[in-house]
Amino acid sequence: TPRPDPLGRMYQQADIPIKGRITDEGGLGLAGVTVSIKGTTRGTTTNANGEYTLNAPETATLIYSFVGYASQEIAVGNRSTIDVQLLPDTRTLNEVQVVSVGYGEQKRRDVTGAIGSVDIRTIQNVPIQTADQALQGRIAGVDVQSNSGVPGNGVKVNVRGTGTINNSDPLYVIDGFYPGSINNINPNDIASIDVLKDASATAIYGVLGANGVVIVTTKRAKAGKPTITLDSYYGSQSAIKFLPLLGTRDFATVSNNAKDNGTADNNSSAWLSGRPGNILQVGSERVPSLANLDNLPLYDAYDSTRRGQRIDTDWQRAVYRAAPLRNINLTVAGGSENARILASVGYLKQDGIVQGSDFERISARINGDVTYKRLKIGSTIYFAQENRLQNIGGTSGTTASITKASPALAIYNLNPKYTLGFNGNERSRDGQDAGNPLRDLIINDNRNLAYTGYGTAFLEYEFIPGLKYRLNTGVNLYLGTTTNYNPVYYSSSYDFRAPGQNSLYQNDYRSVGWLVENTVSYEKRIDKHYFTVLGGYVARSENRTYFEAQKLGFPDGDRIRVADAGGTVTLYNGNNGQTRQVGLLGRINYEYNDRYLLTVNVRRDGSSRFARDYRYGVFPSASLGWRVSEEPFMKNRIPALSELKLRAGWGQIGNQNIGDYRYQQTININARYLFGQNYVSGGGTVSDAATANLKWETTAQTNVGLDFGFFSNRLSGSIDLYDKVTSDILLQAPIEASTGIDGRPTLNVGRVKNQGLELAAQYQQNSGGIDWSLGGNISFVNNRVLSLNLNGDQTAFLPGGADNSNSNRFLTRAAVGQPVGVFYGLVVDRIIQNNSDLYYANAADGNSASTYGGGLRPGDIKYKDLNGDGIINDADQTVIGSPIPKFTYGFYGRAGYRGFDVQVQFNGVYGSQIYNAARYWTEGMQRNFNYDANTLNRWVSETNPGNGKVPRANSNDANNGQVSNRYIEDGSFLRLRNLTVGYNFPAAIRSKLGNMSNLRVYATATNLLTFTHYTGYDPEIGSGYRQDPNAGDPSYGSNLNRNIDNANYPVARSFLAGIQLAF
Amino acid sequence: TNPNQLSVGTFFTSENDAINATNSIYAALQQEDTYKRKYFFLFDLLSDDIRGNDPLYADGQTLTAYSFNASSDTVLSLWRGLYRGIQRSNFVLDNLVRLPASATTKRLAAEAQFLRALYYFDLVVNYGGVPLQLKTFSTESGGKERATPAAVWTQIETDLKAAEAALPEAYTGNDLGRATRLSAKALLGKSYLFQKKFTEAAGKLKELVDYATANPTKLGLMPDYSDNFVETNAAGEYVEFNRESLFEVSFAGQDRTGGTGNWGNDGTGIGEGTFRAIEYGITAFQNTSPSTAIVAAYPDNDLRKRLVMFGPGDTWYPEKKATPYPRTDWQHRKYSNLTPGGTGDDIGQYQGSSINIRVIRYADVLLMYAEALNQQGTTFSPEAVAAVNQVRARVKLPALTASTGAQLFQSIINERRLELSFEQCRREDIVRWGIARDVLGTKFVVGKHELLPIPQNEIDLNARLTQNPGY
Repeated sequence: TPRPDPLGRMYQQADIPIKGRITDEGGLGLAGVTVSIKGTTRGTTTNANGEYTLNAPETATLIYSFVGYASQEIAVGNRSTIDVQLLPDTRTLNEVQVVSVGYGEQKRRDVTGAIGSVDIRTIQNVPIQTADQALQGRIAGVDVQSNSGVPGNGVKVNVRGTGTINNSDPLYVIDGFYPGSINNINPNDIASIDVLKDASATAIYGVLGANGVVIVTTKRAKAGKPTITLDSYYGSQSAIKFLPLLGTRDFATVSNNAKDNGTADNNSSAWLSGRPGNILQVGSERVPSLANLDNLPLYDAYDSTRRGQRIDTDWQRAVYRAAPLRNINLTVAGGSENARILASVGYLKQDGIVQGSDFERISARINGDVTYKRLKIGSTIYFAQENRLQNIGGTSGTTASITKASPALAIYNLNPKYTLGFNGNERSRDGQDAGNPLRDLIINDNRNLAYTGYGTAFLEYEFIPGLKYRLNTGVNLYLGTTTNYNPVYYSSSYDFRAPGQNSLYQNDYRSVGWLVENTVSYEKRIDKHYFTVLGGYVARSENRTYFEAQKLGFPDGDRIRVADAGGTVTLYNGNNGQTRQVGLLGRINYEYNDRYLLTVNVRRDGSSRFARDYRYGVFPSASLGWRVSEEPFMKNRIPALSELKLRAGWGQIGNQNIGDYRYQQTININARYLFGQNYVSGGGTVSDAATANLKWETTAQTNVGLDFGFFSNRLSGSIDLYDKVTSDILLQAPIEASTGIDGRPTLNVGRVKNQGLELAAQYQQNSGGIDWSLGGNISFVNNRVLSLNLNGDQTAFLPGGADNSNSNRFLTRAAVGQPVGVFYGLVVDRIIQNNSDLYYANAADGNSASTYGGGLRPGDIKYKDLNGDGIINDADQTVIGSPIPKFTYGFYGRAGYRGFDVQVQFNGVYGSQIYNAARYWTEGMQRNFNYDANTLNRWVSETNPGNGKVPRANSNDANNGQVSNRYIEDGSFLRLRNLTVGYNFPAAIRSKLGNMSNLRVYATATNLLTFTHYTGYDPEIGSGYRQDPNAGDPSYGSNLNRNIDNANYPVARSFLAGIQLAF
Repeated sequence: TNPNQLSVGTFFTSENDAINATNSIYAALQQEDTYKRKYFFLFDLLSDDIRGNDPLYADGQTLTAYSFNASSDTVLSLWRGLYRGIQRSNFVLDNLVRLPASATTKRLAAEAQFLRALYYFDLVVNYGGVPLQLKTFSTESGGKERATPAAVWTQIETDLKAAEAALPEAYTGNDLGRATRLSAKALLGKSYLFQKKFTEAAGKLKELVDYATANPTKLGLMPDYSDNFVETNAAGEYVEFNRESLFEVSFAGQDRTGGTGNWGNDGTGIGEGTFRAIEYGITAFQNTSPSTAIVAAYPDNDLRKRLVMFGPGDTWYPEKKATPYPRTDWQHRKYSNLTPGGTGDDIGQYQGSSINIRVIRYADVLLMYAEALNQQGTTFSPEAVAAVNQVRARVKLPALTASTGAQLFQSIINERRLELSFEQCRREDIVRWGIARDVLGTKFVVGKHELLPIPQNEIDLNARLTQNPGY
């Protein structure tokens, strides 16, 4: 015991050296066990043999702790050697793990619904840039695909199949709040992610929960000594692959061939007569003949004074780049039992692998908690600034242009006449469409600056033990400004933006929401009965406003870029919208004897998105659980079995995921007309189609599952089977043009069924000094449209999914009996090889004089006459592929040894198809865009028939480019998404470096390997759809746009190195 | 309640609302689907007046080659644009009854009926029998079957007769451009002619010829042929809505009202220009050029030849160069913003041209009148010859010497081609005369290409629609 000295000071008792060895149940030494002195921050860890040495006072108590083992506390006494055998922790992960269930938490072992959780260690030790990446491949039944590789762009998340044809994004709940997306928050702040998958779990969210609920909780401080954590990484990203596009010599050959065939096909002799052989003609200069081209010296692609001569530009190399990625994050946390605070700041800068696409985020968070007697008060404040440079024209703008740009065009123009020095868009045929993809990336300045944040506060008061009232309120804010500045330029006499035509477009968007939730809960254990009851009232509101304007005519030199400086207003628009929602909710959880579990939910919701009479609905659910392993008859029969729980549930939930006011027919006053000498006279007409009796869509879902654990839960997992039927699906259905209506009316159009099987398992062990775990999940889903209510006609279908070639040409459909968004088109039979083959093809209807498809020639594709009527037309179309995988899977592993750790994560999809629409251009050989190397295998003549798969080149083609299985490809892939190797410095070194409690360095490679047969940039297409989630109106039928690849911005491969340290 | 827009329930409460709603019917003429862009491409490319050049959009190439199918974007565009106007007409006609009857409401109803007939005219001529939409939009508007061509024609005649009875003879000031009684008579006469009701056609068109004789300042040929395709003539006079014009689609161009002249299906009246000038233009995209056939068809003594085209020897000023640049080939001049010898190359700078597109003009009426008289077929009509000669006299061509009906018919065919070249009349003419196969060659399939396909999109969405033969 310390004794006071004469001055009253306490003497520290002298330390004595203590050593020892820690072993596991088999007697092997355990490495990395933490040995700490209770009540202090002093301690050490064991070496590879399980040995440790430590100086401690005699009066101290030592704590021995290690993951997966029960901690032990041992008083030192007068011993100098303390050996300890640690025993596995029989309390399982499931018992201690807590999951968010919405309006509360539950122990994992008591859960009766299907709820998946992300193992948070996998986010903590792996660098990710947006929070939704944390979901990828981690949870069975949660399908996450990148929409594109655009930095800061989101992902497409589908929970349990394609429940609706409409936007099927799940509901995101962050700290009890609904900010619309988890994309804007700093992933370093995340403490847990739970995904509610089945209806018995999501029904507590009523009209919002039909597509699943993702609940994110951010980190909060614990009582104790303040901790400071710093996490930073830096790396480089690059394109995973380039397409084999042609150089000028081959391009000219194919292009000339296409044009010659097109001219020969066209009966109009006058066609093209003006400029023969001018494929490579630029300006008024002509290209030498091909033979001469070969003899010319190869000119620098950067010297376009030689334009039209032998220039060989590789646009992929010109536009893609190695792009840096850096991140730094600092968190400070600490406090007492009564008051705790966590503050974090983060900075992320991610340049895109395509020039002109950058993303930057600065974020700050303060989470505070105060406890005073029976009162708890807490607050969460998060604010971020996001800055995007977006000159790339959307996910398939520039990246598609790169594949189309002519290799015969020079990148730069050294002729001083061309003020900007870029030489795109010369007068080659079609040049104007692809132009010089680099020019817009460099000269334009298109930016989006967003301020986003939310603040929430809660108050919880416990009246008597178990009876709590909780008030949860918050506001969220999104302020976004888009500014697009397009300067004056001069590329050629055909391609320029004249002085006075430079423009500034600005769009200010504001979204403000509030939330008030009052809940009362009561928790009571009486003998073997344990129950909790929850009741509450919630209300929320969201207001959105935008204003946009554009002006032309900025001062020469493009120096002043504010609206004031512009000359002419060319655009001004604005509107606002409001969504309000109220709900009453109730839930009972009942547990008997730790074995029998029951959960009943009910919620009544009202939504302003529907007309008065259709506004309110009730969403009930119930689920049961039976912890079989707790039964006496099981307990000793299978000793290895540590956990077995059966679950069954049913519920109904709603989806209101449509725009506001879709039930109300409105007037468009912008349809004005000019009378007299350009007098603009007012307008007013029905602009849009409305449906007065619109109601929310409803999903009824049944789920049965079991959770298991073996060997003290070292092996654990779950199996779930579900059946999910979504009715009254809300969709902005396309309507015939002959109704005269441009907008698509929102309708309750049909029913879709999803049946699925989900398996997840993981194993973890710590022995022989190695701490390792392996896990994996696989999800099978069967998706089918049960009925569609269109014009009362059951044979009708919903067409959708246009590609970039023609916005009116539908590629996909939702049809009864088929999965949502199947590809629909003709089936290729063969390439017609010669005239006698053509004769037989034409004579399919018994008339050899007839032709189909506008007159075929040898070298063209003959499609299959599926209905056998001798004519190939749209009646011969059939289902040619499905974007929905047969199964998706992910697996991961982690191992630690002597401070080293390794993590790998794979994910994949199997059995989906992709419509590679980019090949419509690169292999279509219709237009004077660059071509894929595959076109060198085209049919050229009877004696040079190519590989029998690629038809002839024809600039006047109306047959070979029809929607068919020609461009359908296998979308299966397996991707090594992440490989991380790290090293944790031992305490001995850490203490020398300033008493750090953690110091880890690591290196990570992302998207290192992809196994796929897909020939495009990236098999991970998503829906290609991503609007700002705050922008309100979800776009039409995003699930009809799945897996259509318009040469979308591909995801990058990156190599990163990082450091994590804590004091 | 939606704070952004008026709703149907609260809109039609004043005459001003009714006027605005009627204006919106006209606005459908100004959109990309119609006269702003697709209309001239579709009908010109399907005729023998034009050839497509290299930069022409892919769907346009299939039109010149007659290899288009039901998925053609342009074919859908026109269909959609026309029905958009029809729906807007129906909206006006259904809601006018909510207002107390007045001279204005009667006039607005007549305007709506004229425009509805104009839209249905292009539908029935080019697609055959089409769904008859006569009520304002509701979710029941979908799923309609095709009406017979006769039923569509009957509706057109009914609407035009009503319009003729109620429309005023002329407007002034900021109402110039609205449909007049004369517009209705001209379109009704044209409708009779297209149905081969020659007697009714001749009768109706004669009313216009007589009116012109009695009121030469209100209706008649302009002295200068070019006045029909420019905004301001060489003398600096504003020549839109002139006495030769019976109906035109009004355009302002971005330079006039400050809009962007963008490519969208705009129809907002702000900066609303037609892309005709830039798409065909000599200094611009040159998507099409006059065909060798039309160049050859103009005799050298025909003044119109160099008024509709720039040809070898003509000079112009590309890229604002100081020295004139001589042409060596034939390119478009009609509706072009460019004046030879002038300095304006607006076409390169402004996407939207402000020149109004003339839909029906008096020269067309004279030629239709001549044709109707001649095709009545009983006796040779000197009056018909006189009508044609009136058109020829303006461009200093000698009078016709035809002495038989057959000879005169050939002359009318020729005269219509040369007078109305590049005005989207040729395709409809050669089809109704049954000479399309002779003119266009084997790419025109008899029994198929007389009609356009019903757009595949439309059939996909409405299983009750049947396709036209051959598609």
